[in-house]
Amino acid sequence: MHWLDWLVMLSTLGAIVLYGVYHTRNVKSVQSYLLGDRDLRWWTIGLSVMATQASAITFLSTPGQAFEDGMRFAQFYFGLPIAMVFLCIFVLPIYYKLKVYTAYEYLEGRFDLRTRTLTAILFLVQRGLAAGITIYAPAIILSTLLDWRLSWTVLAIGVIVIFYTVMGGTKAVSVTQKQQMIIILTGMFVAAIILLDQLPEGVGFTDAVGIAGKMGKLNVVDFSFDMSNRYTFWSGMLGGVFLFLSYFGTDQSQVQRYLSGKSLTESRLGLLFNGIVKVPMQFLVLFVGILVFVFFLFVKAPIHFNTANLEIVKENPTTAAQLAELETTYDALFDERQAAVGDMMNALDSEDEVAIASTSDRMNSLQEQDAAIREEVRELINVASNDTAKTKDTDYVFITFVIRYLPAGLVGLLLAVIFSAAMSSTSSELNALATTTVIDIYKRSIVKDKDDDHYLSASKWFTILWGCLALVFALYADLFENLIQAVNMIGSLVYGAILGIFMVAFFQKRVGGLAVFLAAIVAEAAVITIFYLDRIGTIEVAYLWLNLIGCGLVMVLAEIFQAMGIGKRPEPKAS
Amino acid sequence: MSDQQPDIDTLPEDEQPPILGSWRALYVLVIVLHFVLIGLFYWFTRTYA
Repeated sequence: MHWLDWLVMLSTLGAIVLYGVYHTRNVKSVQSYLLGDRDLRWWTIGLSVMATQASAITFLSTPGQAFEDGMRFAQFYFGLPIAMVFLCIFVLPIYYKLKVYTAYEYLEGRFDLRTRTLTAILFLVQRGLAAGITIYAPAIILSTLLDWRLSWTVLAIGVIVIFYTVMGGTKAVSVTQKQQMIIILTGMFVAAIILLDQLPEGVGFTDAVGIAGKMGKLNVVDFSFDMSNRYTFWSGMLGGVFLFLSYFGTDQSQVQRYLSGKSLTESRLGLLFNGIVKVPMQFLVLFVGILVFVFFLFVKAPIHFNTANLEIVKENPTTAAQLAELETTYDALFDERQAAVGDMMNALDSEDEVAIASTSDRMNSLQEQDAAIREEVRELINVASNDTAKTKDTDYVFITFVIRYLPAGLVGLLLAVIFSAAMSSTSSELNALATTTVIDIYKRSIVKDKDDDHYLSASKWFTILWGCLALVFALYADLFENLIQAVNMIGSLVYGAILGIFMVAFFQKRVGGLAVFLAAIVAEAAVITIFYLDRIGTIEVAYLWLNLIGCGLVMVLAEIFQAMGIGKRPEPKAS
Repeated sequence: MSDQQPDIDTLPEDEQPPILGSWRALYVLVIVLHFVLIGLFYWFTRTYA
């Protein structure tokens, strides 16, 4: 990597960390440490909420997703603004009135200690494992393409995050996230500008959009109602609303961000800011992926974006020979595509509908051939690695463009974007894990009567503990590929039930603790069954719908169980 | 059920938002902006497909 890139990356990251540590040097009480003195303004809250959700893999994976599948992933976020408004109306006032440190604290007052502890533990398990993946996922990609050692990359991300999160607590997380989010948005915007600039002479923005559109990549909105289609307007608006209600309303890593607001007004404005900005931001990130797709129509893309996989294929003489043959075919195909894309541009310029239709068909046919060759390469990788290599390479698409085609200095800026995103989401997770451990478990059920200094110290030690666990998980995650997939799935399996518990708490006032507890267990079993039936192909239900199903089942079953008398205390006998 | 359970109906309303005069108007603005954005996305999809 060029020295200028090192300079830009290290100075950007270093400045953010120093800023965070300097601004939180006076944190001396547990309230300051866990709630940041409740003095944050709406723009800090809004950017902090966005930075918590946007992990590094968001910026690595999302452009790659657009490159392969078009822009339909934008619909995943369609429910978010509605969820933000719902939370502002119904949930924030309750949290503010009770002055809670965690979302789960509220559940004890509403139901019982058992429900609070269960929900807190569910959060700790799911988020504790996820924190390791938040570090591991970008580290494996960066270390592969930049030839860095994975362990050093993991440690570089993890140790810095643990350092400033332990030093300054929740305020350090929020103020660094504000800077990190500014770097992220600037970096992605610059990437889009540079991509347009890197297109061949005579190919402008309108041409790029026209070509991508005719190749079916600008499929932002799909109104078809199909439960098996993962991303449609309806899955985003219905399933997505429930997912985001659960994530932003009950996941402590998000709740803690807006609980540190100066007032209810500031927190509401922060969430509404997220509601307005998030969808356009995702559109921008996806559109960067579309521009990368168009760029690689004019510049030959690698036959497979994960270079480590290609090395495995080349080590085996048989697969190496087959790869060489495929590369020859791929080169010829690229020449043919270049000619075809030139014809398509001429057709678009002349607005000749017949020519546009025929060149579109030709381009789409060539695109299918390109996909077929890439699939054959994946099969070679499977053969050469005995099915141990991960053949999906879309996460490597954007970073390949960044490393190979951006000028010196900007590579460093984009790497700072990736590191910033990894650090911002990890710091929120560690902060939330420590807070939940101290407030909902340690202080509530284990060590109850110590002074403020004790709990402040405990909060710091639990941050270190969770940080070290995340680091260990990240360092050894490549040994447990199946575990990673399982962790990624846990979120979509439990969020619906957790949201259901909170919805019952907010709106079904006559339902008691035992009824909702049993309802959550039955609903969770049903969600896991549906998920399993989908996996084995018996039914087809896209995972976003699981949030709606889980939440709805808890609400309905809790009402039924309560009506059946479950959980009601026996009436005292008349003497 | 605990005494701590808040009654949503009696929660004190926060101060007014800095623009539009009421929270209801601000929420409507956010939702309307969102649907306008979806409309623009739909136009974008149809125009370039």
